[in-house]
Amino acid sequence: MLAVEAHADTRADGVVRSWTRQRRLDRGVEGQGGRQPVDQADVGAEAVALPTLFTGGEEDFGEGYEALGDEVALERRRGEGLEQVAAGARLTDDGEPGVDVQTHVPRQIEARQELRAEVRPPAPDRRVGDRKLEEGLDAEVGPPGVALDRVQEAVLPAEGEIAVTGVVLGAPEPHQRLAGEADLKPVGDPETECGLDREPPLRFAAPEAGAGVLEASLDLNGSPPKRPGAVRHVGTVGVDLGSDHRVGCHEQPGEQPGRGAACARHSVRHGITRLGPLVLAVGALLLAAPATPALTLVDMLERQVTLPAPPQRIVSLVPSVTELIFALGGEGRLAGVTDYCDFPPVAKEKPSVGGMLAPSLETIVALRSDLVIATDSGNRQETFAQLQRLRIPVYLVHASSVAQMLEVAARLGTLSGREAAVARLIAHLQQRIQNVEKAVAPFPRPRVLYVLWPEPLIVPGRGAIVTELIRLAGGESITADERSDYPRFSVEAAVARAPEVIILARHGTGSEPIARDKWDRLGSLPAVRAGRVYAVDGNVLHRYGPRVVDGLELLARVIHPEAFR
Amino acid sequence: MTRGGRLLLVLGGFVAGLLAVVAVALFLGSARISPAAVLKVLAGRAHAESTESVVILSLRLPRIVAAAVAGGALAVAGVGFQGLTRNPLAEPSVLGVSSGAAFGVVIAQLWGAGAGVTDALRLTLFGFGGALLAGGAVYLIASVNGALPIQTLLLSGVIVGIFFASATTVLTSLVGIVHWLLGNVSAIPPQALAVFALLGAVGFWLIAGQARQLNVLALGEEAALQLGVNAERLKVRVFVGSALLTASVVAFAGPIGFVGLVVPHVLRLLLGPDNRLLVPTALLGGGIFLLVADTLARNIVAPAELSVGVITSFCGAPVFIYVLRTRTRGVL
Repeated sequence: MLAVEAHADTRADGVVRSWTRQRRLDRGVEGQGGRQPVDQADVGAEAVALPTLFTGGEEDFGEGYEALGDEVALERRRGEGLEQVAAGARLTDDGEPGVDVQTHVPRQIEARQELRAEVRPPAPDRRVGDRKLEEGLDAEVGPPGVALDRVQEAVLPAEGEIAVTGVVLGAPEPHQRLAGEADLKPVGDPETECGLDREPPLRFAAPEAGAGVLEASLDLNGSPPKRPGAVRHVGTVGVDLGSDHRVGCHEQPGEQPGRGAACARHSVRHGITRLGPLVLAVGALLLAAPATPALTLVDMLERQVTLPAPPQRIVSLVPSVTELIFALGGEGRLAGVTDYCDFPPVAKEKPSVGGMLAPSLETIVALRSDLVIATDSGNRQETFAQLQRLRIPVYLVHASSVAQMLEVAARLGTLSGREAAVARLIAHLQQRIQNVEKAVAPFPRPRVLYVLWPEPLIVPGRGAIVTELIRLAGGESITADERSDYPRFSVEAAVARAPEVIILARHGTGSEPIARDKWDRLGSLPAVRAGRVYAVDGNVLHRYGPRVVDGLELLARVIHPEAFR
Repeated sequence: MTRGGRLLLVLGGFVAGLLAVVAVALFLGSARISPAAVLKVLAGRAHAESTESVVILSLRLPRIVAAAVAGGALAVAGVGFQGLTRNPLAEPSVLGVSSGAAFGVVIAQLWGAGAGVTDALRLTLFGFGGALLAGGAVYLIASVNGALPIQTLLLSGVIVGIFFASATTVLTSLVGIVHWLLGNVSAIPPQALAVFALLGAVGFWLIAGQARQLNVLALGEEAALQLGVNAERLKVRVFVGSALLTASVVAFAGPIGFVGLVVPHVLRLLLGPDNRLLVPTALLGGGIFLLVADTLARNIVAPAELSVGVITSFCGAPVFIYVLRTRTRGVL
């Protein structure tokens, strides 16, 4: 018996946190202490969660969701437009089925508080479609070696109310995207106008249409690891109520209230379908967006950015932003990148607008870009001013820590219309960070010298993300107290601090010197004596993108090999 | 006092000064090693593997020697270029020769930038080629009827320097080398340091041997010819020597500006314009100057470091302006 927990929340500081836990109760993991996440090996694949997003008024959610409805209504009263509530489902088999709903409103919408609601729907022993709930929980599908080798479903429909669902997907590789498109038979009730759309509908509601679009989509594909790049269509489950249906719409008296929600109930309940070898479950995404003439966002430097409509042709001037957009599956809206955006490799197929310092404005205009995403550390103010004169909005991000990187991810999810993927990505990254922290926790922290550049010696200082990653990886950077982020550092001071591990950053494809011999000559250093001088790929450690977690794992294995035997 | 006696006295003073600065520099550093521990290491009584030994003998001492050699080489190159052009503002970085050498060094780095002796020789050889190219270009551009007017000399030096700096940028962008060419002294391994010192000695010998003829050249080429000086041969020798000194410094420490300007100028103020005295004292005085600058660079913001080029330029630029405002009037 497998228990699945999926959570997604946006905290008061704007950081989205979500996580998924699986427990295999029949293997005695429960005995290890309550609701701990199970080891990866135990479930065969890392878990990611598709959070369920929905919104609406209290009526539509019924009594069981009163608390949630209240909170949503509260946000409405504030007169702010877009409402978006993330929720997660927790399924347990301990006799007390519970749905732990956490509701949040992303920061840019306005509210900054964290809201919680406990919901207890009826007993789980019910049939969903023609299948019993428990069957879905432990379906193991797909041939071995396929990326999506396991799709778990957990559906907990409640009588007469909207169902909360969670989906757990197996993704053996961290950067494999769980996104794509596939055809699917409509499972909607022909009597109603809603149901599944044949076209994979994962699309942001167009606010100017004044429509609330109810969508529930789960796009999946997996690349078999042995054939990188090959796309295996797995399937899409989607619910599209069309633009003329409002969910819990109080503002439009002409519409039948609650109709959208009814459709959602319907679809979700029937949204369990066997697709080839795979079993999918539905996550529901509902967005109710009142009509707004323009979208005004606040970027990470507290600047107001006004867009006429959700951006469709984004230009990224930051490699880490490009990586994050790809990781979120939002590259469909990515119109241009820089010369340095080399990951994932397909990013190089996007049109380039040049370097980070002097991108070609002509190219950005020619790409008909409707939003440029840039950073205050790496791009130039002049560029922003020039773009503004060209009436191309610029959204600035700023990241100097892992938490800020995750916030950038959340914001990019909104900008690229991939809110649903945000929680999944962040849950996945945070799970991996937690795994590293847990693995290295029992061991003492060795003194680490991280060499960004050998000659002159450049090291990460207090504000550098590498310093934080070394800390998370269970090491103690000997240059962690330096005031500037990337100071030139004295070799003799480094030697005097007797590093036990020396990590040399490689930049790019290895044409640059990492000057290993310089350190090997200092044979009396503890790190050199112990043979603990390592070279690592700086690209996964210096960019504030999703791969810093790869970098963290790399650092942890280098600093604490004993923890990963 | 006889001329020989004065030379000995002055040189003795400079040697003593250099040794004093070396001694002070050995005791100063971000590792915060006590003077007693430094003495223990120097006396050979510390364990060879101890941190103190490693810091003093493997890091500080090689860096001090490198700084002294580089400073001496740059100052002598400055004296050479100044004598050659009969212009007190001539100096490797002002003439664009440093940029040319840096361009050559970057080309050599296409085949790798190791720290071995062969790598060091290859870098210096290419740097030498670049320095000759840049120096030759400046000479051709600036010479008017065989003379080198100061305006055209400075202007063509600046232009050639900018050209080679841009060429270096283009090259590094094209092939993805991002080696730092800021100019900084580092602890060079002993074999490479020996090569550096040897190349410096060759350059010094080429210029020092011509010191008397350089004095004569100061009177003008026609006068030099009348006094039996082969001006062409003299110029080639001094030019090659100065270029070699510049190239070896660029290869081992990167382009460091203004040492070749500040040191000879101060020495001329102190000792007069006699090149026979100026060349050897420039060797020692340049060593002292760069060593002081590097010791400051190591210690001002310790444990972080400054680029030594920042400090030499900080001192050098005002001197350059002073010389430009005072010495060039009427002298040339």
